[in-house]
Amino acid sequence: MKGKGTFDVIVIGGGPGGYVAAIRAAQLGAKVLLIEKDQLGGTCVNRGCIPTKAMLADANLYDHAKRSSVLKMENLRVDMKQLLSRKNEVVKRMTTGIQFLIRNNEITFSQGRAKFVDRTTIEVEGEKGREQFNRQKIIIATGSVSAQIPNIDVDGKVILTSTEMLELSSIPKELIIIGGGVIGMEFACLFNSLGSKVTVIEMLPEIISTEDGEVIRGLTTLLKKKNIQILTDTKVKEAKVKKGRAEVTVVDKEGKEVLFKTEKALMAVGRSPYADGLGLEKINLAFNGKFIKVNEKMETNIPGIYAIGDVTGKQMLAHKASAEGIVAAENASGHQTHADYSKIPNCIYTFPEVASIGLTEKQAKENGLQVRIGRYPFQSNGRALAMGDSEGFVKVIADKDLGQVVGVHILGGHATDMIGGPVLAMGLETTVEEMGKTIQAHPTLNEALSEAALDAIKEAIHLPKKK
Amino acid sequence: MMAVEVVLPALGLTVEKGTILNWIKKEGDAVKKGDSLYEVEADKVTTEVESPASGILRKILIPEGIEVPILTIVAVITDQTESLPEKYLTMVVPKLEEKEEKKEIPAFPQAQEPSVLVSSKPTEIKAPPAARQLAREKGINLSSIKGSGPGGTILLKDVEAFVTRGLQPGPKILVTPTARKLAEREGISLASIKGTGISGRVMKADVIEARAGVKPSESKPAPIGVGPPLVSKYQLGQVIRMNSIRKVIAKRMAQSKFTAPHIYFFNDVDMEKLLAMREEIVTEFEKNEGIRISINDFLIKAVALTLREYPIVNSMVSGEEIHIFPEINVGLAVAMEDGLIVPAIPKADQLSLGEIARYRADLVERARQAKLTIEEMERGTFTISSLAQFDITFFTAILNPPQSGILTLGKVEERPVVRNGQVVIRKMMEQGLSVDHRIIDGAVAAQFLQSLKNKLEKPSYTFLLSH
Repeated sequence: MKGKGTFDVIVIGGGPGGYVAAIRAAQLGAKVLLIEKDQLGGTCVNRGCIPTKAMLADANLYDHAKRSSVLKMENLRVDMKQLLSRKNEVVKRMTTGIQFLIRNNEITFSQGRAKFVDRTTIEVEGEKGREQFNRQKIIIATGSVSAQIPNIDVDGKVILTSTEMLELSSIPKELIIIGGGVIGMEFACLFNSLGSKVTVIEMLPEIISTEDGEVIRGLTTLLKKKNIQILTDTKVKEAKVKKGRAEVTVVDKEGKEVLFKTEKALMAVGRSPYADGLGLEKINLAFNGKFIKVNEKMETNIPGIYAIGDVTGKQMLAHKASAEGIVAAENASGHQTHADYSKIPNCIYTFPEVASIGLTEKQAKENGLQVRIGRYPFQSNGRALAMGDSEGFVKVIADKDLGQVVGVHILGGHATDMIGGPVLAMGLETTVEEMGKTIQAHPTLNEALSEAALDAIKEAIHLPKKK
Repeated sequence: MMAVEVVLPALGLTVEKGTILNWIKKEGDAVKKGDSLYEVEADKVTTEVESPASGILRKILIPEGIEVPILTIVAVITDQTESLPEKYLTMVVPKLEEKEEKKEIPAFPQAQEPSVLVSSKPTEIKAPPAARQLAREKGINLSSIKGSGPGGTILLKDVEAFVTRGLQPGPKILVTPTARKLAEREGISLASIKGTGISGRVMKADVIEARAGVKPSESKPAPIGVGPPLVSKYQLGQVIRMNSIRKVIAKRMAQSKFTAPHIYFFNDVDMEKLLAMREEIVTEFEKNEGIRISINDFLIKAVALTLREYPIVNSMVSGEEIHIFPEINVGLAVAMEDGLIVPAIPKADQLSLGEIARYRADLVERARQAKLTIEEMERGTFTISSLAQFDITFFTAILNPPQSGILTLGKVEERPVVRNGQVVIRKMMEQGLSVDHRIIDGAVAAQFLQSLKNKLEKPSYTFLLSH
């Protein structure tokens, strides 16, 4: 044991939930200790959001170049080594940036594995040995790992998780993706663009079932056109590595067993909360299934202990974890704040992208809302046509009574960049009238937002007359 | 002598505002306490207001033809040598322009002059003190309000409308478009809502919460002293300024309770026969009299007849004298959104049931439109207060000064009672009587209540000649 420090707030986990919580607590005057066993930035920066987006950017460029009738490039090919090194460079820039912010906010950083000794003491086991810290408040932000299911033998070489996918040095000829959720579909687009023959196996009737049905049907059609095979209502029975190849047995819609042999398989059936080795059982922390149970102030059942991010479940999103981190840090510092989950945007970086905020049409109806719906296709948007990227549409869902915008769904090449406006608009409880009458610059994709809003009140300018 | 403020007196429970018709004394005149200073008109009734002190009428703040809320300072009296304290200068309201027809009392809403934007120079803004005060309280710059009064004078209602719309540019009322729309539709003042959004922005949920407190229907009175539940629209920790009506109520209630020692009596009334009688006659009655008779009409008549038997209950204390009122005018307590009004049916003992029903319907209707006259409000000699629409069995009431008796009525409900040695179920009502014990002895009150009970339980004879 190397000494004993006392902190106002100890944060366990340096991902987008934990490091944000640490900075916020420091801003509010707390003496903060941040513990991370691996790299700052967590899954998001090191193995998730950021590296995949770096790879997708290159794949997207390649995809556009291949499809271009203007660019004439003989022997256009992807240098995987360069692609991976550019991705690693991006990750490094990000982690270095976070390290700077931690130092800049005078947060004490401890590298190692954290463990509860009792409800007020945390022990960190690092390279330098063991240290114990006392705390006033603690924020658990230990995140998640790829979920595993029985009968799927992930070996990390042939049958992979998303983590190993990011290090593939060559492009597989065939790739089977188990799970048609957000992670599965982003990898499907990435490797489809790079040249793999991709098959997605999804248990449910639709891929990405959390998004608006109309958007997902549109996306599915577009992806199938790109030769991504999507098998819905199909269950994976088992996946084994045989002779350096993956053999995946599925049960299809009709209940028939089908065997797929493939060069690589990706296991993307979601993520499980991660709190291994923390010793939570010792302090009798309450759980909600696999997840740590918290209230809207991010408080656990033990006074002074908070939990945020993936380890608490709900939507496993970096920005949701960060928002919760701020709520936890503020409550731990004596303020009174609450998490609001009604206006968290979702972004999916498929080709084309999907972005949304608020209720889907189905959810709105399930909530008993009378709705007005407006749509506007990018086919009718000048900028989209000019960019040669005119697939998809904007869908606006408004409460019929007050006109309040309750959901915005975008399918299109730059959907994730466009959702910012609707996020702000919904945060301020904007109505379709205001959204529609907002003057968007011409020519921009954002004009589609105003037009879709106007369509909800049958006043879109660039659409055929509605009765 | 200190400067004495002359205020517009409370002219009756319903009266919120009065128009100064005529200054009998001019600026600079010597006045004696008790001299008539000016004439005021409210609800079509003209009253002369006496000087509260002797001295010089130093400054008239509110010129003729201007309508102001009660308790507004309208003039200042000083002694011979004293000059006007400076603070009053800012309260001076400019005279109406000459071209305005003074004789036709310029109730501002009818002003024909087109609205004009008021100059931004503060010295040129015309606004009565009440408007200025509200604007000051709400942090509104008067120059941003468009006046609808003569010459662009900013009236209280302009400021109120401005507040309701939440249009002022300052940081005082932040509101989302959806919340504003909802508040406008529900007629809820945004100024009365505590916003829970960032920087106190009023969100839709806040309006919904406020609406739960103040339903629009609550602003309308229901017959005989009942309204829908007045769920609290207030916040914990809030400090609320009493409005003029509330101030008057507070003063009168305290005066009544602390001056007149109250005693309370209760008995129960078997309502079966009266309810049956009403049921029997209601259709024919409506056909012949043109009005649907209510149980309350019978009650009013029965009370009036009982008062004729016990005139002492229809009286007031005046110094060391008891004044028995020459008429029996039965008042009905009517709950308003904020406060209570008690219009009275004159000579109810001499009226037929049809006349009583028509009076009752007319008074309630005009109470709803705030169109009662002072005389109708002040002529009551005895009051009935009913909470029959609530789940209230019985209650006590404070005397409505200068009256000496008030009858309270609970709900009618089926109860087991003993009749001829048998337990039977009868529709019963609890009635209560509060009286001023200075002049009414317990035995008299008990007899009064007994007699009233007899009348209600033997309705055929009671109402034999009174349809």
